[in-house]
Amino acid sequence: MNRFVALAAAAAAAVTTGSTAMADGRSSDFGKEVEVLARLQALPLFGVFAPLGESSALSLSASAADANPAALLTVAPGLRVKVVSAAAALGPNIDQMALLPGSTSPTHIIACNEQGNGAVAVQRVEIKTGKVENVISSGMVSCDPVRLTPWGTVVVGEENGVNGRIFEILNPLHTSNVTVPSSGFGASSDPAHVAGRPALGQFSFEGFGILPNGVVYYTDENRPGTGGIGNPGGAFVKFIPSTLWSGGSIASLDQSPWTSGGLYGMRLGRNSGNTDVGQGNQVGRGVWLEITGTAPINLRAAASALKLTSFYRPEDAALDRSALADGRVRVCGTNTGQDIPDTTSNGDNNWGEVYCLTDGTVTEASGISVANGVNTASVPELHPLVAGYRDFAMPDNIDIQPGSGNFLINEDGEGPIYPSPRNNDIWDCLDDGDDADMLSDVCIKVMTLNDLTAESTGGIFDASGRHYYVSIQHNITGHGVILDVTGWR
Amino acid sequence: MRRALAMNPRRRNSILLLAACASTFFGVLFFVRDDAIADRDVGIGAGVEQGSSTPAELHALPGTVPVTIAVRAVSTTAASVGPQATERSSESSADPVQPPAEVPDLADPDARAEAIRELGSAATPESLHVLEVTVRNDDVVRNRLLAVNSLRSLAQRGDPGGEIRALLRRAMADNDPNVATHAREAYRELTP
Repeated sequence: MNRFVALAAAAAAAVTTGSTAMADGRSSDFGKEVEVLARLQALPLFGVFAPLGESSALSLSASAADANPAALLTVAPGLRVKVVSAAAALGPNIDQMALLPGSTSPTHIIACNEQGNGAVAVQRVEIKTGKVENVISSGMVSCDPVRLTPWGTVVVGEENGVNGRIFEILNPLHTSNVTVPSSGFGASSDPAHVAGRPALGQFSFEGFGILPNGVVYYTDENRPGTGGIGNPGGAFVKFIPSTLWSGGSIASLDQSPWTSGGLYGMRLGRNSGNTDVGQGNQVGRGVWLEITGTAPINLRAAASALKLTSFYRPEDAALDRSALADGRVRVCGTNTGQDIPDTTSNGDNNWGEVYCLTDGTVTEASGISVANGVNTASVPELHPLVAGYRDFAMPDNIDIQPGSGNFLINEDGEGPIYPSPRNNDIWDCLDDGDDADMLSDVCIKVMTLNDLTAESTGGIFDASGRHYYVSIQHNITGHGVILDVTGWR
Repeated sequence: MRRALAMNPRRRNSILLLAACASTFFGVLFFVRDDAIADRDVGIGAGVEQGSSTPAELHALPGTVPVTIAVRAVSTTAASVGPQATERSSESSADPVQPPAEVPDLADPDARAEAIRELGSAATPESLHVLEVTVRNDDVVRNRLLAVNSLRSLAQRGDPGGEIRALLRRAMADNDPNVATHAREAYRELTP
């Protein structure tokens, strides 16, 4: 490590010299110098010795990946990769994951498998052995988000348009082989342990940010123009339980705070009596509009009717635990965009973005004070954190590393289909600091896949911030692979 | 997230059917206009069988340069991926096989990828035909990798007629090193 520090110091001096030279009038690029500084300070800022350079262009064969699943991922110097599971029974499309019984000393991963309703939807993986068991064996369509709730259950959601549903699982470490109806909210095969949650409505569930009292923010992975040119993209919704959760665990599913509550949609724009809304206003402060109707409400239709602010395919979201510790609500997530190569006629170079949404204090965010359809108890405010670019395209899953507060982001871009294909990467971004703007100060590449047919999904840290579990989704082997990346300094 | 996920069987079948039709059409084109490729196939296979590594000159064979997949060539949006693609797009103007409006994803490489992934589960003449078209013509390296992997899966269930081996030999000469390597490894698994 000392060698790296010495190198960093020497190079930092070189950068300083370069800056001076720029002041003297020689041509330079200040942005590149910032990138160099980020590389040089990778250890204190990101916990790795150095960032990666180019994305990998390698694509392992199935036999090579089966022989060494850890080789599916190249990591930054200092990091190490261990295989949690590459079992043949592990779903090929493992997406988001949650740690059980909690993020401190987890023993299991519970994960969504994003396939059709005939395939296994939710699996439990023992971290120590890699053993795989089915929790929800069929019935769900495109299971994507999964979260551990503050009351000890696990919630999973479908990324399935207006048919998307949320299910809640009681005792997830010991619930197995449950089937759910392929549509609607009929009873599961084990209603005592798995139940639908119609109170939260229906759309394409993806990002979740759950407060300790059960208030939850979630997003609709919807593409603008779906159903007709000019139609909105995905909206943000907040659910406030009828009875806020005050702590502890539940013994039966009917005790869940998600059985009933109110729905509120985010619409940015407060000028002229909250009327500066619509296309062109996607940043800044706004209002929460009450969504009324009989459960399950079609949230996509409600978003359209209420002119909720929409985004280009909102994906995963992460609750900022540091802000929460200060009593503030901050949820950061991704709008993935679409980066079809500009060598094709429909290439649009929309590389997506990372945003952060604030909603005042926990008390304000959980309040209900509706006047003229507006819940005035809190004021949502959204700002971009990272703007995507060609090398960092279509951000998807996101988690915030405990300790550093950095954002780890799974890229799901179209690099693999570019004329000169490259793999998708995992990026590490600083939060905004004390500078004047509200943007991430810098991002570096810390991992790159070695499988052009795969994407990384569901990356999640344990409470220590030292274990980063990530799925290599739809990889070349045909079965799931979950890796544990350690070595963070 | 997976973009072309949860394709319902009806939609998938539509895509595959159209792909098969288009591939048949272009197969005829290849036969009529480029029968030298078939000759080179023999040469490629022979070259690989004689040695453990693919001769370097095989990568330079013009017939191995990937071009737009047939299903894209018949789409209304011309993809600019090189002279051969342009040529095939212009050919498609007289193409009797036109994509129906309700199957817009034919030009979507991710939708094609989803379909190709599923072809590894059943060796039918149609599936082999689609995989052949993909290996020969899909301009997306990722999709050719998936096709080779599906061929590998199919071959593990048997290849009595040798068709899959022939396609793998073809893929060994791909100008993308990943595709060629995958094909070589799959071929070696079949012929230890």
